[in-house]
Amino acid sequence: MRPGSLFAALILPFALALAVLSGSASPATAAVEVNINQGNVEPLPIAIPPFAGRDQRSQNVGAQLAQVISSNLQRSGFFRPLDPNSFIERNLDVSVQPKFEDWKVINAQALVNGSVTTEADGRLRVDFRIWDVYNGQQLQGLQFLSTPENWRRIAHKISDVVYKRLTGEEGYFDTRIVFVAESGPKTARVKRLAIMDQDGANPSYLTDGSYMVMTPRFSTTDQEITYMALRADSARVYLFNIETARQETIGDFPGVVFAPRFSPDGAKVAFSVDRAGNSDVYLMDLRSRQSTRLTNDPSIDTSPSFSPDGTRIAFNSDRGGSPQLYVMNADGSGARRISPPGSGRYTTPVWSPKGDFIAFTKQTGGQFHIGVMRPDGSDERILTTSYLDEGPTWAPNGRVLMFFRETEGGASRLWTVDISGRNAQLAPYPSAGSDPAWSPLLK
Amino acid sequence: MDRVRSANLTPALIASAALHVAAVGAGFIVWPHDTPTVLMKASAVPVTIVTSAPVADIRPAVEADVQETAAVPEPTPEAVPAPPAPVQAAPAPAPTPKVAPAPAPKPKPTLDLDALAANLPKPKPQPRRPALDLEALAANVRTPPQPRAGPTRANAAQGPARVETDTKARPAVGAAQGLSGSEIDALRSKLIKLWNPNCGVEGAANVLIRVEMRLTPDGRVIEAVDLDADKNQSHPVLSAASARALSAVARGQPYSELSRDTYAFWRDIIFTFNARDACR
Repeated sequence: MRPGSLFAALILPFALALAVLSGSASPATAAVEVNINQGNVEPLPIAIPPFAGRDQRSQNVGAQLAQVISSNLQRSGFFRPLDPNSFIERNLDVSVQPKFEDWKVINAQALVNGSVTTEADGRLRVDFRIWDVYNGQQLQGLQFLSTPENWRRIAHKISDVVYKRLTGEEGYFDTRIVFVAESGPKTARVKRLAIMDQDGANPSYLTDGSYMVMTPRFSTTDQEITYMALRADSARVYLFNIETARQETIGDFPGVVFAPRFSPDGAKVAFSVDRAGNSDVYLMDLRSRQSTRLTNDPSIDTSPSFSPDGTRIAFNSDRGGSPQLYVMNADGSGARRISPPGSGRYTTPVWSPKGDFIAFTKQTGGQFHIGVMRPDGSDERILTTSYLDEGPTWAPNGRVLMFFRETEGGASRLWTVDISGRNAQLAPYPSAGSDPAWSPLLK
Repeated sequence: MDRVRSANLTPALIASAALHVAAVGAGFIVWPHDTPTVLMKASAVPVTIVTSAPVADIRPAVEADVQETAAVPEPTPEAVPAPPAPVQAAPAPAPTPKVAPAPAPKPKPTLDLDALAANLPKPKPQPRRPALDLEALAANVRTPPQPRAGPTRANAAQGPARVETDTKARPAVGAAQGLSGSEIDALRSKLIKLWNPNCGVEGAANVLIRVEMRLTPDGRVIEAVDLDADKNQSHPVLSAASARALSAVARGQPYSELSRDTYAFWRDIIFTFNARDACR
């Protein structure tokens, strides 16, 4: 036997066995594992210094951009923008990596910086970056161009990008709200259709107040709304294109037409028609103008709202003795109650754009609530409670709701609440308003 | 002349003129309620357009001189302006924004682990691929590593007493016999304070992020990686959660609660961030 063979036969198996034994016993080969199953849940501290600019005008816009982005993110409840006075590093250059140590000192976990430039053609160019301070990494960098007067939209778009990158959810800041602006004494209330950015900026009246308006609803596909106009001698439902001001009625019906809402593709409108105290849900094809009756019940069936895939409609009916929530197929078949028995009166169902929840108004024990439940009626969550909360509308990301709240003897105001119910706050519109409708993301 | 006029103004002509006037006048009559575009006054509020443009002309950020291992950064106000990157020509506008190019990769920390390890007391960190040393192997068989005295042995042998050191952690804790229970508790407490899970987003309850970090003997993070990065980066919520977990690990340094004597046991640590419980 050759020496090599002898080694192989006698020594190597022993050595390998030893190696296995030794390896399994070595503490250095295994990483320690630690399970972290609790956390410190709080809004994310984020620093948003004024965006840089080469000239005074650009610097002014840069400061305003940072302010609008900060306000947006703060209102979402997920972020805590830090006081700019606490910033150590100033005059950041968007092309140069920040001094992370300076931002760690003030516990900024994320940093958004940017620059504003006026292009040769007069357009505004905004570059920005999102930084993970503690890992010293850029998370995202984008650029937007627009005319200078559109700087607010740029700020909203940046807010959407930051929100999505740091939470994983789609943003909802580059949107608008149509609502009913109320003024005057209660006995002679003037109700005008109005529109504003989601942060309350750029408020504008769409109608002059010579007639009452109710229940405006946004199309999910474009800048079109449907609403009910109430005059002394008539009530009609209109389609109104916000961009062109072109509007038309969906037609004349025997009885009062109300509670309109678009189908997800914007091609149909579901609504209610009341005849002698019996309300039923109808569906109109906006191209052919043919309408179909979807419910046929001697009770009040109203407030239709499509599922985002268009296959089902949630609605409100008192066919069981009190107002409750029902879901039926889009052709009117298969209606079944989803709200739990014996727990209050449910109205104004609104299907989430994500399809996972249906928002509603609930009345119980002399109080009103805004809540959500799964489309099968499970997992009911009450988000708000007050003297009068009503009329929820979803932000396009399906995580935030706007509604109106009326205090006893007071005017109704617009409020927002997130789907957890933890972040309820007055919407940034300083006057009385009701019936809000949230637009899809602007294009 | 008068005769001609009187001859032209016949009753038929007068009637015809009256009919025309009536027809024209009828055109000015507004019929109530039937023409909504006349009744309803409304104004337009067009959407202003923000044009998206490519971001290729955003210059990559120039790396500052980051001292990864420095406990306290040197005060260098305004002193280290990184050289600007070359300016590229502005491209033509395009319909959709693109992600800016990531900054250049960071320079690897110039950490001499061997030198650090040489200064350490026992046990020394083992090289990743040790040469086969038969004598050492035999010695190991004769005297296998003994659990250290103290609370660690009891924890390893009997399993965790607290819910946080769950079954998944047991084998690892057992293997890392050099770490005391109090050290693990301190680690956990620190990370609980630093980890900020976003419980408000949909799907937060399903988030489970595993981060492996490698430490220097003085408790600084050499590298921290999401062990499921491939999967997590493709999902926005998980990607954001991953960034938060990595941030917590980075914020936790230096891990001075770990004894340098047992560096070999905690050089690599895996944190499992379980939002299922944290967001309950």
